[in-house]
Amino acid sequence: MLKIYWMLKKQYLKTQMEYRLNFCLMMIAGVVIRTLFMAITYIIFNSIPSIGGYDRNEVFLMFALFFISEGLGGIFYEGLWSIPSMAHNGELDMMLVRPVSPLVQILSNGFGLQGIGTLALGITALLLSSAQIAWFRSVLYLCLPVFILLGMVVRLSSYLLSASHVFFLRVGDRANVTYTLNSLGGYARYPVSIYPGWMQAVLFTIIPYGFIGYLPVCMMKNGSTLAGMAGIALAAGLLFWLARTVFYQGLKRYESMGM
Amino acid sequence: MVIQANDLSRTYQIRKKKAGLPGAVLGLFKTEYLEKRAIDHLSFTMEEGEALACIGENGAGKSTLIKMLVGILQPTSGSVLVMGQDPMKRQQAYLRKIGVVFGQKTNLWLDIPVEESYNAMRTIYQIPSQVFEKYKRQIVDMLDLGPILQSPARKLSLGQRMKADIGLVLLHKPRLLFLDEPTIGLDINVKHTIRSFIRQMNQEEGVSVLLTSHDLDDIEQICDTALVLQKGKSYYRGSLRELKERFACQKVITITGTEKRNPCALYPDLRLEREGRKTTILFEAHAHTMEDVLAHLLQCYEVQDVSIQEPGIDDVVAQIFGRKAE
Repeated sequence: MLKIYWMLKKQYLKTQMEYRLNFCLMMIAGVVIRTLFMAITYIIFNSIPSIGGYDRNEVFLMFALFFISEGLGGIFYEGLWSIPSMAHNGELDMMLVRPVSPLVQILSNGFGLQGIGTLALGITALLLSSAQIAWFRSVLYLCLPVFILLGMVVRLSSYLLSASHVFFLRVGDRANVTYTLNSLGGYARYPVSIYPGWMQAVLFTIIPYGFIGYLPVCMMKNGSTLAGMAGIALAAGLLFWLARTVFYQGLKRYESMGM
Repeated sequence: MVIQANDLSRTYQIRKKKAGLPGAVLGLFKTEYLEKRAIDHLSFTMEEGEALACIGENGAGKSTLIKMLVGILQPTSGSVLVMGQDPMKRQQAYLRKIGVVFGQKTNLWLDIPVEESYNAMRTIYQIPSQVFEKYKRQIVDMLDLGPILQSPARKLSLGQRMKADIGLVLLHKPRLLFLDEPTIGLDINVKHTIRSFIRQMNQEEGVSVLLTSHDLDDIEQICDTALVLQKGKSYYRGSLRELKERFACQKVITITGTEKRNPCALYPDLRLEREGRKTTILFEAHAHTMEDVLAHLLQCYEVQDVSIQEPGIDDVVAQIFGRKAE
């Protein structure tokens, strides 16, 4: 399975390398946009000491987790974004007749070049901020990969879930639900506790991005890292199960194109 | 039996749209759905090794049928077994045994050389390299793909791409091949190569073939049996030869020679088309027997050469669908 995933991924990458200029531009764009985000936040913290009880470095650590999972998501499963268009114009047909899970084929059918830049930025932010947080003990460095991995599962599940709308609603491929939800999820870069209750609820259910950056930092700060990990793992597992089920139910309703 | 369809139906819900922008805006608030039944309680079977043509007008349900058979589209009701499996379960063992070509879509990765797409199949279908290389060479030779193996699919002409596409789905040696309009828009040479290749696969390798095409030459040269669909129902299922006999109402005789007297004097319903010394005579099959007409014609002409033409499948199809229109 993994072998096929890599092979398909390589196929896709080869097609992308054909367009070198695009490759470079995408990579730079990812870094520039997110650096600006961080710069603005940096400036804000010059006037206020903390947001929702978290200081500059703690918020940057949330950013870092958020960006790393986003960057890795771009590298590993960018293909999810194209589900609506593939379903709409019948491209899924070819995937459905191959003896490989359609999900694996979709995941490998894309490579977000901006992901590399985002990942690099995320790692830099992580190393710089964690070094300046008083409560951050070195053992926590071992926990970070787990949180990142779980963040990736959360992202994958919510991309998949939101992209599956295409099988149930007749909205065409222009209404980019995934993109909209992902943008709203961006609010979870900041400490989620600063938002009103309903919005916190949204960021842990419909758009569960609160599990990616905020909750891990919150739990590590409170010294309940392991409990946090278990809780997030449970949520991520549940979410993935739900997304996968909805996707496969959706496939049964897939109508392809033409008659 | 490779295919066993039982009381198969598929309906689509189509949103009723009113014309114009006001209609589109109205559609935002109130939508009405129209049910369109693409396949209507269809039952049929297909035997191992058969080359079956699925014939029908546009919208008769051919593509819908193929999509249900390969497991892309869920039937609304009824059941279908393909090689003993429910295609919608998409079992790997099942998918390994079939090959699917949609004339309007491609299996190739567009930006990379054809050969790399081919090699990808080795991983996807987990074929041992030696077997794969040998079979690949064979297919490349048969379809004359050598010169284009290194070109990216995007740069190929439509005909080259189609040949490459058909070669690709045979790399894993499928036992059942679905072809939906495989020669659409191709020139005569490429069509010929593709037809003889598919025919050969069917005859020599025993690959079962289910083909839909609007090109009746495709059908005649590849298939022996036919399933005629009309509005999603089976109109005819049997051999192509019998279909022709049953529905080809016009018979055609061509005579080269000098006319001694007008054959229409005795048989006023004969239609003559004269072209120099050659005369083509057409008559309704139910009106006269071939024997009578031929005997009569031999008296009317100083014959140098006679030929009796087999009715073409296009006459048959025109006849079937023309009759319905009346």
